[in-house]
Amino acid sequence: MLLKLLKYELKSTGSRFLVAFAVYIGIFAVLFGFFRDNVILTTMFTVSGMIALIVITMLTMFQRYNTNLYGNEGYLMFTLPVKGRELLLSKLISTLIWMIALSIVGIASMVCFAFAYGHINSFNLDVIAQALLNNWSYFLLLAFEYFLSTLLTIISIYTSISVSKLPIWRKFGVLMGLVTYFVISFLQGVPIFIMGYFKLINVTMHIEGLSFIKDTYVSSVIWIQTGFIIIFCVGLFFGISYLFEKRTSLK
Amino acid sequence: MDNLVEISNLTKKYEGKIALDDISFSISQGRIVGLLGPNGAGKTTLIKILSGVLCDFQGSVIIDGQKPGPYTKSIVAYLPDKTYLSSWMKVSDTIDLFSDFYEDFDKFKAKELMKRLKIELDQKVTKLSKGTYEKVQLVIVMSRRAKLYVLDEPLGGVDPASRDVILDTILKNYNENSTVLLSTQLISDVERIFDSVIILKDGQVFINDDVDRVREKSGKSIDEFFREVFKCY
Repeated sequence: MLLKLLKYELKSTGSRFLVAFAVYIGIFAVLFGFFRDNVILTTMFTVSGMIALIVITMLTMFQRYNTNLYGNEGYLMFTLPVKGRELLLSKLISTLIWMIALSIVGIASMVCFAFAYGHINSFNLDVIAQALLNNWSYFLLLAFEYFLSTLLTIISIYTSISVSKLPIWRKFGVLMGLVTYFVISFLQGVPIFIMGYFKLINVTMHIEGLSFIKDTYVSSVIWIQTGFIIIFCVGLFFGISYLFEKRTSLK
Repeated sequence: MDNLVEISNLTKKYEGKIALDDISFSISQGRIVGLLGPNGAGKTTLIKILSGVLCDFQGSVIIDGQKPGPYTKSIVAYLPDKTYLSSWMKVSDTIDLFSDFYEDFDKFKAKELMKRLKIELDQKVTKLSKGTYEKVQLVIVMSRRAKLYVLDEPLGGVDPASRDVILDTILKNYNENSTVLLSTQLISDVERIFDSVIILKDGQVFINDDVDRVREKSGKSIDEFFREVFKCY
């Protein structure tokens, strides 16, 4: 059932994302193909284009969850013979897929940008490649943490929307949704803050260059951070599943 | 006759207001039951609970021996009084979706019914008129071989000529062992198909009886009886 739900999720959002990505990549290719000398134009487009893609992704994620589950479409979704957690998983996976696609487009355009203006050349490309190869397990861990952080962002927004729809808030649903989001965000920072305060770990982050990252944003910190992210994700996942199965109240 | 639906001490409150007040009744298999009552009597709330879109209630609801959940959703065919199809869908997508999720869905029958009602499969649902949209929803719901059909105002937005088509669709397509629970305000159009009626009033069961017995006792049709009882509303 999860795969079937996922199929319809991707069908419903696919056209919007594919068009948005295609337009961005198309304009990017034209600008860097024919107007590479105009640095202001290409820089402005790269930045504003990425912001536009991020906004489209976030809006689509919010709108799809809100209208598909809590609008009229909810009368179809909540009467399908599936478990609440399958419904939630299908939404999470589809949004994650688009978020990862967005990240790939973003990283690819930054790399192209750096190549086009000589920030990366054959000399420092070797240095970067060597640094990545020598520290592959560390960068894999960073990528894993990024993946989980993205998941936590999505699930935090979903939790806020689901909480805001509880009938007990009456007219204050939107406010309670915002409060929920800020509370979750605050709680996410608490464990690292406490450990940093008691100097159990060094939480100072410097990202000026690759060599500095590993020394200051050490693996132990990432593992602790990742552990807390997993706990938050699992807790919020079962929280939303509970709301779906026990507290659904469509108007 | 076995009971398909058993409801005991069901209470549902909305923001302090009681929509269903400690109601208890059962519905047998193979019946067409009219769910009647004035606006705000609790009909839609009861239907939402049976279909699983309202979960926070007090009391017990048992459908085919199980509490509302994935199993009951697999045997209940629900037609809400709202348009609930996704805007990106074509009519053919709605058939595919029901076919994917409901084992009891008859795809061939759905296509036949759409053809008979002159509904094109490649039309987007957002381009359909209100009446046609409702027919699409009714067709996909009635193309299931469900144990319980829960239909909330299926005649709501359609013209009088189409009402006969819809009633005909319901009568010809439901399984004789299935139960139909149909809520409507157009009682005179539908009462001929009812085996029994449940009339709700102020969140409580006012009448739960066979239609013939109600007619016999009151000496009136169900429509006339309803108008007389609720004339002050």
